[in-house]
Amino acid sequence: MSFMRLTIPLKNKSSPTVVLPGTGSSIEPPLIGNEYIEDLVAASNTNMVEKESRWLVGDDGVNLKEMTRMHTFISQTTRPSWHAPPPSNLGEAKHGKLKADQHRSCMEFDVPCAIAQIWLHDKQGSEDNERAQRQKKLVEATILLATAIQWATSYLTSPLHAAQYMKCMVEYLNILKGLYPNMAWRPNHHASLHIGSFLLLFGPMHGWWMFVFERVIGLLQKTNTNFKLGELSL
Amino acid sequence: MSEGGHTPSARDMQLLNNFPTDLRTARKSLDLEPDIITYASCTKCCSVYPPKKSGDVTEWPTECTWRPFTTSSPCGQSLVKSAVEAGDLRVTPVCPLAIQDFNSFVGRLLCRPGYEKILDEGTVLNNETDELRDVKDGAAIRELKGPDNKPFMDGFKRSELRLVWSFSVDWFNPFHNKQAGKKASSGSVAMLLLNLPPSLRFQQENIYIATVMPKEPSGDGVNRYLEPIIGMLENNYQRGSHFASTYDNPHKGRSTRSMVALEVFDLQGAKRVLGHCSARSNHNFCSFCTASKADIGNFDWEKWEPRKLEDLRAAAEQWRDATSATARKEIYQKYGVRWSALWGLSYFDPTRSVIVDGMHNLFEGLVEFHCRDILGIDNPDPEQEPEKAADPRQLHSATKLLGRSPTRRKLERFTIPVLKALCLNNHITLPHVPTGKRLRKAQLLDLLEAFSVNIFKYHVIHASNYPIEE
Repeated sequence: MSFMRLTIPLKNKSSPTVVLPGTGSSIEPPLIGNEYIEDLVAASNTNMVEKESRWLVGDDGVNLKEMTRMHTFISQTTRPSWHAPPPSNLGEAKHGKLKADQHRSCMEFDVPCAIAQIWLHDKQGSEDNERAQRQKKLVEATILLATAIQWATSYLTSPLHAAQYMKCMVEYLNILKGLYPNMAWRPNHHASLHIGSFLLLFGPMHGWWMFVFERVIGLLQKTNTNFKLGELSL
Repeated sequence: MSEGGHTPSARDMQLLNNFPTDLRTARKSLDLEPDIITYASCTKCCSVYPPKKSGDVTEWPTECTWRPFTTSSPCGQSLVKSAVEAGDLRVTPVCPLAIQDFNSFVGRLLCRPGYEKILDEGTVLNNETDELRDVKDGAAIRELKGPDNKPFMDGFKRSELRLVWSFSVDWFNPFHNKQAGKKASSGSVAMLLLNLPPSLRFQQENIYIATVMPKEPSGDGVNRYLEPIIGMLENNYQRGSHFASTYDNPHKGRSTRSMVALEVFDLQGAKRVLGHCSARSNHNFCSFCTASKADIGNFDWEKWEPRKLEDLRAAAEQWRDATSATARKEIYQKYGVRWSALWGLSYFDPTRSVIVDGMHNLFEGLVEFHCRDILGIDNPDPEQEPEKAADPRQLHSATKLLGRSPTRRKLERFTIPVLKALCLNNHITLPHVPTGKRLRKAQLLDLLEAFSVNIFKYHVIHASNYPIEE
C-alpha cells in the first residue's frame, strides 16, 4: 500500500527539492503518496449525502478482535528511535488519559495504518457489504485527517501547506458528514478550519502551539509546595 | 582549608564563616531571585492592590474598595491578615498575587553575556520568500506597528531594541491530575520572547512567567489579575524602558520596547480571557467568525464572515461602560462579548493575534474525537465475527457418537460449532453468555456429558421396566 509510507518521514533525510511552478521558490516535495490523497479528495466530492440516516457516530467502530490486532500492530512495529509509540494497550482505561503527544503519534502512524490494514487489506472481497463500504470510507477519512495534521505541523510552512491542510481537513469533515448526517459537531471541528490562516500569519505551528506553555505548567506542578496555595506567607 | 599545613588567610576565614549553608541564602546573595511585586488580591472579586512601601514595612489596603459599577457599594472583603514573621507582627495579604516585574526580567536578560546581540539579530525579519520557517517569518509580525505607526520590527534601523513576545494564559490543577486528588485551578501567565532563536526561546530561563493566578475566576474576574501585567506591557510599548547599563553597553545602556505579537490560549481559555461567551452559545460560539451554532456543520470556510475588530472593541467598551448588571447582561447576550483586560494594550487585535491552539484543537480535540468517538477504540464493539457453521459430516458422526454414550475425551475432538449444533439438535438449553464472551468448549462438553449420562440412565431404567424373558 503506497500510503503506508506516507506518515513517518525519515528525519534529516536529504530530500531533493522541487521548484513549484509560478512561485519559483524551492519547497520540500509534498508528502509521499500525495497522489493517493488527491484521489481521495476527488472521490469525496462525489459523495453521497443521504439526509435520513440510521447511522450514529460510533456505529462503525472497531470490534474487540480488530482492537486486539491493532495492539499487535503497535507492539510489533519497528520504528525510528525518536518516534514514541502510543501505549501498546491503546484504548484501555488502564493507560489513563492520553497526552497530546501520544495522540499525535497515534494519528501520525499507528491508527491510520492499522485500520487500513484491518479494514481495507484484510477484508478484500467483501466490498458489497454496507458495513465494509462505510469502513472503507472511514479509513479514507482517517488518512485525510492524518495528512491534514502532517501538513499543518510541518517545520516549514507555505501557502501550499496552508491550502493543502484546508483541503484535506474540509474533505475529512465532508466524509464524516456523508457518513453521519445527524452528527453533533464540536466547536473544535469548526475551529480547526480557522487554523489555515494562522499558518500564513504566524508560520509553522511549532512557534505558536501550546506545548511549551504546557511545559511551564509541568514545571509549576513539579514545584514543591506545602499544598497551601494562595496562602503564601511572606 | 588548613590541610597540607597551609594556614588560611583572614579573607579565606571570613569567606568560610559567611559561606551560605542554605540554598535560599545562596540564591539571595547571588541575586538570582526574580523581582517580584506582591499584590494583595481580593478573595471575592479578584481585584488586586499594589503594595505600598513605607520604610522597611510593606503595606496593603485593609479592605477591598472595588465597585463593579460607579453606583454600587464597595466589595468590602478584608485583604490582609496579621502574621508573625521573625518575631514581629506583620500584616500580609490574605491572598497574595505575586507578579514578576517585566522590566527587571528584560534587564536581567540584557545583562547576560551575548544575549543583547542575539536579541538584536532577532529583530531582522526574513520576508523574502513564501517559505515560513519560524513565527517571525509570518505576516503578523511583519505587520506590527510601533507607537509611531511605522513597522515595529525594522532590523537595525534604530538604536532602540525591539522585542516581540507571545502571551499565554492557561489554567491547570496545581495538585497534579489525579482522579482522587484535590481539585483546584490555577492559571499561569507566561510569555515567550520571539526574538530569541527557537533553540533558546523555549529554555526555562528565557520564559517570562508573569504570575500564577490563585484561581480560575468566574465572569470577568480574570481581568483584575491581568490588569497589572497588561499595564506594565502597555507602558513599555508606549514609553519603552531604558536600562542604564547592559553587558554589551556598560556605559551607554540600552532602550527597549516590547510588543505582544500573539496570544495563545486553548479554546476555553480564549473565551475566558477574551471575555467571549462560551462555545455552548448559539449565536457566538466561535471567537473568530460570526457563524451561528446552526451553521456549525457548514465547512465552506471561504464564505464564513470573520469578526471585525471595531465591532468587538465597540461591544467590549459598551459592556465596560454599562451602568448596571442587567445592562451588561443584555450586551453580553447580544454580542457575546464582555470587556477584557487585553484591550488595555492599545494595539490589541483579537481578530489577528489570537490563535487556535493546534495542540488542543488538533491532537486533544480532533484526533481524540476521531479515535474515541468515531473509531471507538476505547470502547470496542463486542460484536463477534459470525461463527462458523458446523461441518455436516462431523455433525453426523458426532450425533451417532452421542447415541453410544461417549466419554468426554471422545467428544473433545469436535469443534465448538459442531458441539453447539449437537446441543441445539438435542434441545439442550445453552447457558447465557454475557456479550463479548464466547461459549467455552468445556461448558459445552459439561452439558453434553450430563446429557449422555441421562440418556444412558433413561435406557437402563426403561430396560429394567420390561420383564426379562427367560
